Amino acid sequence: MNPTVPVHVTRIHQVTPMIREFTLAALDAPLQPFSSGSHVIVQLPVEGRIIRNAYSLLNAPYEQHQYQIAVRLQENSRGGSQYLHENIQVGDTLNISAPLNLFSLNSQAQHHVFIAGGIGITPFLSHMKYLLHAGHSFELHYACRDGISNAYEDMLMQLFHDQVHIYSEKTQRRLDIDALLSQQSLGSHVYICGPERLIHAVVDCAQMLGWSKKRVHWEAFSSPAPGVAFDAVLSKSQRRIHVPGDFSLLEALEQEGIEVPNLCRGGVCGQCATSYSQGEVEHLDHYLTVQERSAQLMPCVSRAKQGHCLHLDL
Amino acid sequence: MMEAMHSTPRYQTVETLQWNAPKYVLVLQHAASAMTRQLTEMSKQHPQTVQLMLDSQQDPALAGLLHELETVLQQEKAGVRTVVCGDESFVWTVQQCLVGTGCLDEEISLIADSSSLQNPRKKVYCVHCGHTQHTVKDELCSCEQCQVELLIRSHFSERLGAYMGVCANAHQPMGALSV
Repeated sequence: MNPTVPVHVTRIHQVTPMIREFTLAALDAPLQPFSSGSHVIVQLPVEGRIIRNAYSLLNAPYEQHQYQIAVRLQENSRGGSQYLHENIQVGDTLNISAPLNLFSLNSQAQHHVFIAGGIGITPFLSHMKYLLHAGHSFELHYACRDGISNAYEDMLMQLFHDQVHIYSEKTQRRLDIDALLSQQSLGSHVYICGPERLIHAVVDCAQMLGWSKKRVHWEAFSSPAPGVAFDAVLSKSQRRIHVPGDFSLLEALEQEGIEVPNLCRGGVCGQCATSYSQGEVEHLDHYLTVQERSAQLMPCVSRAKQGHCLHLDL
Repeated sequence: MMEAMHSTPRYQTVETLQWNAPKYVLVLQHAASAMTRQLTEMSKQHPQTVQLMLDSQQDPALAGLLHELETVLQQEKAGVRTVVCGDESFVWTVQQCLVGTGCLDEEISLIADSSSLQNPRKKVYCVHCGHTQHTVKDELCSCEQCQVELLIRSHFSERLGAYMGVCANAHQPMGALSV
């Protein structure tokens, strides 16, 4: 299990009306080093429970004394981002996990093509600062909305003018995925972070062009979507637990003191995959294959279908 | 050859090629082989195909072919598929060149033409002295550099493009030089 690291908030910066940047520094032990593309899980006490949200680190991996995250205020969500925006002040303590990287750069790539949608810019900030230092080739394509999700636009244009392409109302440009991918040479790898429809569009286009799946890398942290409440029977421990609509199955298990190994809590890393024997599952992860889904589920995001009770091998 | 293991290469066959990518490059070792003729025929159905053929089985010809291949691929865009057909020694030499230019495994089809060729060659890496050599032998060969009699294992290194050769007789650890 990923141990908890207490950190304190040393700076809060309002990047856009919707996006706040938090700088975190060590409290007890020095911070662990990280590679570009890493994220941390931040624990947020909201309404008597702990919500765990993943945020990419956006500072350069050479800066070992601090972590920086940027949080977009999400409306109609479980309140984690709202808590960070409204309750957290400079000097406060937060509990986070050690950094983990599920979105690292491909070491064989000769050119890195980054595609960001809105707040999905954050892991690329770290990648670009690293690549600038390492002297490797890259370009950024950033689709955003002026005044809302165009975080760091000015800084990016200043630092990386020739490598950055902004798509917004202001620039009057639209991202043409097919044109962008069609012109890539054999040494290029593409990375996407942003809304699911953007990821799908790029993945589908790459497939049409004959690309190997391993040329396309993406990261999508979806907080578990609230759903319908259901019950789960734990076959091995002979218990029955209730999963409220605004709890993920993983959170409900943790609430009952049942530890399931987990890392990303967003349906991508595969750590929490759990076997089940009965019940119909609404699979919401990006990890399990169709075959695996008949016997396994990922409790961090997946739920029972309406009216079903799940029997888990726990 | 010993029993296949996890690292033993599994080659594609002419029949399982999909021909569904926008563009193909064919790299062929023997103009006269049945598989080459079959591939050439199939590729005529696909409008976007480039074909490179080895014109002699001598080493300078291979170096020339690899150079030509690199030149072709530098002009190509990501997504081009490569089909390589020849003996194992040939397909893995070409594969290393392809990987070096940025092609990924799924974008490369290797077809081992071992059945229709006379004396198909493969590469063997001597784990004792680190020498890589070509051989037509199946089970045993002698290391050209350290003379150890090698058992050709089915354990294969994709990085080296070679099967692992280990001392076949522990009582003769120096091969022919053992007394």
